[in-house]
Amino acid sequence: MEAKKIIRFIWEYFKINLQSAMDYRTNFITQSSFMFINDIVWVIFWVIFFNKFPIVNTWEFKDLMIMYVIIDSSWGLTGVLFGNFMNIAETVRDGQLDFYLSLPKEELSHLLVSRSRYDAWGDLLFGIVLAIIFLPLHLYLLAILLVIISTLIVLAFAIILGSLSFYIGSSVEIAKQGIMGVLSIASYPFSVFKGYAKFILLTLIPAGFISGIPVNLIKKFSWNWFLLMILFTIILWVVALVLFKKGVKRYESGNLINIRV
Amino acid sequence: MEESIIEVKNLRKIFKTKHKEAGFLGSIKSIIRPDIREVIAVDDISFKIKKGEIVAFIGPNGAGKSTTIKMLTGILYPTSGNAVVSGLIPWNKRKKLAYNIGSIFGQKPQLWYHLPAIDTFNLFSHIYDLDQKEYKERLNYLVGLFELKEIINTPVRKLSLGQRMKCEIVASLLNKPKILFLDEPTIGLDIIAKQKIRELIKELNQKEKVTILLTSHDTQDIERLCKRIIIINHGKIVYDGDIDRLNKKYLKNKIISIKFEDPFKGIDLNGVKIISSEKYSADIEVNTEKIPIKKVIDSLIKKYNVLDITISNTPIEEVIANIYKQK
Amino acid sequence: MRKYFEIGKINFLNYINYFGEFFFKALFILLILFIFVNIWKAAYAGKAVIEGFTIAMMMWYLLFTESIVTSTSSVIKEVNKEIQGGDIVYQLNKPYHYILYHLSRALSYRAIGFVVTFSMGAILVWIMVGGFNFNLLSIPAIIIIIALALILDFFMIMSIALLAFWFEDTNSFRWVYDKFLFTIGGMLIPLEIFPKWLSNISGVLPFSFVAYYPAKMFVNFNVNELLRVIIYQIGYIFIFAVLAFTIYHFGSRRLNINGG
Repeated sequence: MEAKKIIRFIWEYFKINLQSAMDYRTNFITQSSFMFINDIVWVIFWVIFFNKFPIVNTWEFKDLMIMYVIIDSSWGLTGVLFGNFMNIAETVRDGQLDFYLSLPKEELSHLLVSRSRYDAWGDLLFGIVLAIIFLPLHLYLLAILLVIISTLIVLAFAIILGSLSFYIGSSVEIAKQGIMGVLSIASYPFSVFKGYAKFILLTLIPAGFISGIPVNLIKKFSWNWFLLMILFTIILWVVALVLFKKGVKRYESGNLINIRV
Repeated sequence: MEESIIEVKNLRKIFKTKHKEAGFLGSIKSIIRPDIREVIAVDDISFKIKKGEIVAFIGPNGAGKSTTIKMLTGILYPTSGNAVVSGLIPWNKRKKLAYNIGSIFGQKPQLWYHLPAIDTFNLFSHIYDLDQKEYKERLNYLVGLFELKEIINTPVRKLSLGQRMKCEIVASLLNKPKILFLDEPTIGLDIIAKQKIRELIKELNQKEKVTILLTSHDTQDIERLCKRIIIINHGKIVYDGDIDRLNKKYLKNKIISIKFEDPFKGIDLNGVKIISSEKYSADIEVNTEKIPIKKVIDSLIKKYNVLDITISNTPIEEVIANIYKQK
Repeated sequence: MRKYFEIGKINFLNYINYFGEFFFKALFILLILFIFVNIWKAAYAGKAVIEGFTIAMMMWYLLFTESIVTSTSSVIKEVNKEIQGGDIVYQLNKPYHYILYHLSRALSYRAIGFVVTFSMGAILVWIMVGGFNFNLLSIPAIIIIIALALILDFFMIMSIALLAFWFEDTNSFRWVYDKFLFTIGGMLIPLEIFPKWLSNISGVLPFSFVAYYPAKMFVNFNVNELLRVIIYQIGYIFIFAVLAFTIYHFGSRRLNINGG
């Protein structure tokens, strides 16, 4: 019953966001298409680079392309469905959380779904186009599953960074930079990393789980890594929810450094 | 005796803020030895509101109004004290309470700007988990009452401020709230729109017994809608009672504005003070405890050819300002 | 002229206060350096020199370009807000030109950004790949080239930002601009790595004069090329300054006609 309500809720918001996008047509088309172009330029660049240096250790050209399928699709999906994921810190800082708190829906999910990023549509579309070109049909199901998990990781990471604003003042920039930082790193071929670097990218800065591991799983499926990825996602979500909920309690006590009365 | 729908008892809210000095050294200092100051935003207030009352809740900026309302809607925890709103403790059962209340903040619109109001209404019906059939009936009723049939399909950004406000109010009424928190509902509206909104609020209150807590800097709003007024200043309640009593208690003055045909040469009566005058007009303040209005008017008419005369109460702002000054 | 200096100075002092922000941006750069040292190590795989660059030169090159490009101020965000929010009308009344006002602010901000980023990154790069043969005598020339690069970047970004008079959100244009800087501007890799036809084209486009040429001069100073680079920089600055001022002119006229 609860799950049905939540899905209905996300769906209703998705519809209204879509309507808003249609109404705001030029903006929507400009942002999504420029992001699409953005993504093309980026991929072409790396194609040229790896043409000269076919050095991605164990990865081949097609693996790189699949990486972009994953990262662009998950980043895109996050932005399309949960468009406010980069604005959590701002919302808290500006006292906008009050609006969500005063309504009968769970405030975190409400905050996240109440916007759809237009640029993210460009990313998502690009990911799909790349998939059509480079992803063999029999791998689609696996890819979709991995994209969903990857989206969850991005979301949890964004919630963690965004929740810092409950505890530290002026952390809006840190949150934004942090999230963009993870995206950046996840846009580079994971296979070049070894040792300590690889470790960090599978823990503190989960770029490895967002784009790297999914590619490896598609190359050669391994139950160990798959379960590890799921475990990591769950742990990340627990941390994210605890941090956020505790933060809301703080917010409700009104003792935030930057609260406005 | 009717039961109260809002009951506030000894509510207190103290904020701890970090006081930081300017400059680089100040920042260092505030990390090593932070200067934490306490601000008492709400200082031991108590009041009861019965179902169906329309109560004005006013005070100067920073007096503790918003803090109190935030506590009543459950967004803020109090430092100490109790409150029960519609049978629930707001900060414990915020979500449950949210289903039963509505709020409008004049300066923070809820409607989606680029879409027709009907889309926001539909969204709200899902946010409040309304039964779709009941929702449609309720919507039709409200749209009829507020005369919005023509405009609910127009993008909100194309509506006039008055139309937008009506839509905002409808949005906050879709869930049949028991209590409505209205903050500056008529701000920025022209006179006709203001009157219409006031009428509608009054009608709704009479028909559905919606309890209304109104915050407004527009004293006409208060005078036209509310019988009871709670004035808060420096976190304390300085007045809680009838509006009429307020007038009678704090000021017995009436103001007469007159226009004459002949030049005005003053008036000499005990209890009468000339506030301002020009060649052919004057504003006169009458202390009705010292002299009845009738006597003043008779005297004026005897002395001059009066073209026009207006009698009004001391504006409520002055009444309230006097209270602020006293306390 | 003096007033712009004063504006720059006051912002300089203001921004020193925001040291924290620079610090975090610089941390991000360290991350990128870290990623690339891995990528380049794999690419070099035993080779000492690629297209005239040792791996050390390659990393110092990257540090240099990153310090220039990522020190960007929030010009686009501010301009967008000012134009969209209508605040710009208050700026129109001030006795200084809107664009030059932003220029002096941006330069002071970016000067600090460059220094902070470069200093922090230098430590990391030194640890990772050591040094290279740096020509100390080239310092005055390098400083001039950096300044010109920042000014050029500013006017290109400003031209985009001013489109806010017509477009709701200019951020997407900015992203594409950034990507061009990253790629054909030579920010991530020197143009020598590209196929000949691409490096030829990129070498004459304005983007490369913001990142590639300044960084190339830094790691491999060539006094013969110096004059050519500076002339191109000044030339492009002129073109984009005119563009920016023109857009501003038509944009503010539009504002007056429509009444904001």
